[in-house]
Amino acid sequence: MNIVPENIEIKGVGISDGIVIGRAYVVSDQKVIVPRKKISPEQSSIEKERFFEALEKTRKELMQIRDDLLKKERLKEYASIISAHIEMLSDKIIVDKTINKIEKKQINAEWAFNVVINKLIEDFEGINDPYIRERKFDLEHLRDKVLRNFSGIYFSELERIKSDIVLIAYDLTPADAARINPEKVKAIVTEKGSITSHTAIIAKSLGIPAVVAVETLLSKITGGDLVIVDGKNGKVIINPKADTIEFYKSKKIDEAIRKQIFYDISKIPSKTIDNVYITLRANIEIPEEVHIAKKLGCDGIGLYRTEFIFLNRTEPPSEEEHYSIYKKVADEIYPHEVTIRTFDLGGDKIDYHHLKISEKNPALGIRAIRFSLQEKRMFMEQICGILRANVKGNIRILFPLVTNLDEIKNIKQILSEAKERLENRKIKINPKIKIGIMIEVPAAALMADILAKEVDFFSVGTNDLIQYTIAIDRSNEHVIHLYDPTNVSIVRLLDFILMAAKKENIEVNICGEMAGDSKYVPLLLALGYRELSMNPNSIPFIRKTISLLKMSYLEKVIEDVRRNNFQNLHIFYKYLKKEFPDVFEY
Amino acid sequence: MNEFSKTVTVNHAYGIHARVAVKIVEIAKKFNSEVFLIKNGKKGDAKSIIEILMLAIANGEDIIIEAKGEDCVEAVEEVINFIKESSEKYL
Repeated sequence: MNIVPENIEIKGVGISDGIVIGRAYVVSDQKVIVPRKKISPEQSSIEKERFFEALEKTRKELMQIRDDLLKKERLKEYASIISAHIEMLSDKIIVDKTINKIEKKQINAEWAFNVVINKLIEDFEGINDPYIRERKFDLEHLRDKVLRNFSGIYFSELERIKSDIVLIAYDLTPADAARINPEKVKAIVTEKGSITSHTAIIAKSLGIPAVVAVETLLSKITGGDLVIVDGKNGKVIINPKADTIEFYKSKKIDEAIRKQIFYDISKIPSKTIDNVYITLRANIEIPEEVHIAKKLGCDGIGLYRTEFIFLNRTEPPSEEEHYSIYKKVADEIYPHEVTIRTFDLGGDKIDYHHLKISEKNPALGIRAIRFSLQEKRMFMEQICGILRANVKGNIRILFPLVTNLDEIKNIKQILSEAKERLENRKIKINPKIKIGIMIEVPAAALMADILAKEVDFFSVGTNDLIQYTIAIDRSNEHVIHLYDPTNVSIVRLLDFILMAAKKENIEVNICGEMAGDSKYVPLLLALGYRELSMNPNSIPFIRKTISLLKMSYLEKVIEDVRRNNFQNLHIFYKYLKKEFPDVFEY
Repeated sequence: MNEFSKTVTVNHAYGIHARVAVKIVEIAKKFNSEVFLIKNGKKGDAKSIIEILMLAIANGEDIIIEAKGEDCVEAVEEVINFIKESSEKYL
């Protein structure tokens, strides 16, 4: 008898609001799609070379994993499993047969390898001994690892999803998350993850309802099951009963009404009561978000984080790739501007083996501009891509983590080198391009007056600025209570940065979370900030907040507080609550 | 060419599994001789972890270790010694 269990309800962590009733699409793992190409006899040596490179890359990765395991007392015993994987990698059965196939069948290396190893996996499946039979999982794991290490990009299963589905996965990598198409994926549910995971960030910015950290999810769901996802309450219901479906259908209607209210407020102009216009821009991570940002009525993209272009691939992106992505974004947001921030990760986050760096303390290590200036070739590809994409002159370049003048000098040197290269290739570039730096380290904040002479704009990254100034790791629950954007030190720095920018008459934008939080926006406006950049979905609410404020009043109160060197900031908040009681509502 | 072979009874709770097999490969590779594991007439190259695993050698089974080459005796003895000594360690 085959009974489908009904109405299984599992709790998780709700990430983004919304109710979705749909069919489950289970992504077991990122499946690698293996291309099949006929090759000429002369090409077979190239293919063999590619095969050995992929094996070598995998071997190095495994050795690294093994070394890491050996350092951990409790995990030591797993190291010998990795040794078995390394041994399998050089096993003559795999190597000889693959080489043979490449030559005899005149076929590309990854196809040959895939056929050989799949045959072995089949053989293992036929073994009676359950313990040995399980080794097929090792081979599968190894196969996927090697296939990903063939030079060139691999495609994830996600890109092939055709119809409306509820995406079910164990966890999503940043690259997976970036490939999600909101037109087809109606909700996301993962067994792992947290509020800060990439799945969460992407789901939020795409406005897709999502629930993460749903324990035992994969053991209870099968592809094609009907699922209800309640993003607000973090609930997932598998194979719901008819009345449950009815209940959620009516809930969905209520939600649609609420959403309408949300869009209605998005039509208000971003002005204070006394008509001071505030520029509101969107922070985005993937080009697809431009569409959402525009719908919510933004004044351009204040921060385009380009990290996703670099992640989960085996080679750094080429100039051509950078160019085509940035061109698309710049065209779509025109006549507004897009601010493209260059690579902002550490060497520990990327997979290009030759560039990978392991550090004890990556937050204080080779990352962002430090990494770019060290890996000039990778950096040059990005810079050239940006310069070329600036056809309409609406791109600004933003450099992260600058801490001294030398770095700016080096950046400018590379920029002029890039321009020269492009000119030599007879590529016309728009001479109009604004150069800016992130002010996110106390070092930069404290010399803002000096740095302001060198650049066209500042973008203040309050998250890192707070983190570095107060010495708080935000992911550490033991110190998170000390993370206070209104700490006097932070307010003084923000005041100093703005004064410095004003003196040199350069633009200054705030792009940290403070800018999207109605609790801090009045303070930022009072200090004199007129450009805010935030998560697209926050824009309507911040616009509403702004519309309730009177600039002349804010400036009067902050003047008193400033005279006192910001020591009595609580007065500002006291008056704020009295004068504008509704301001924290949104 | 010199040849040498000897039989050993496997006394590992889970048979010759991956971790044991890795060690056998490591030992076999030290020798110039060709080294084989034979179970019920089925022959597997001792220098190939996959071939060893495919023999699916279970606890209590007799296997023949066979080697061909100058250092065949040493090779067989070392593999046999390892299998005997490791039975406790790799349970």
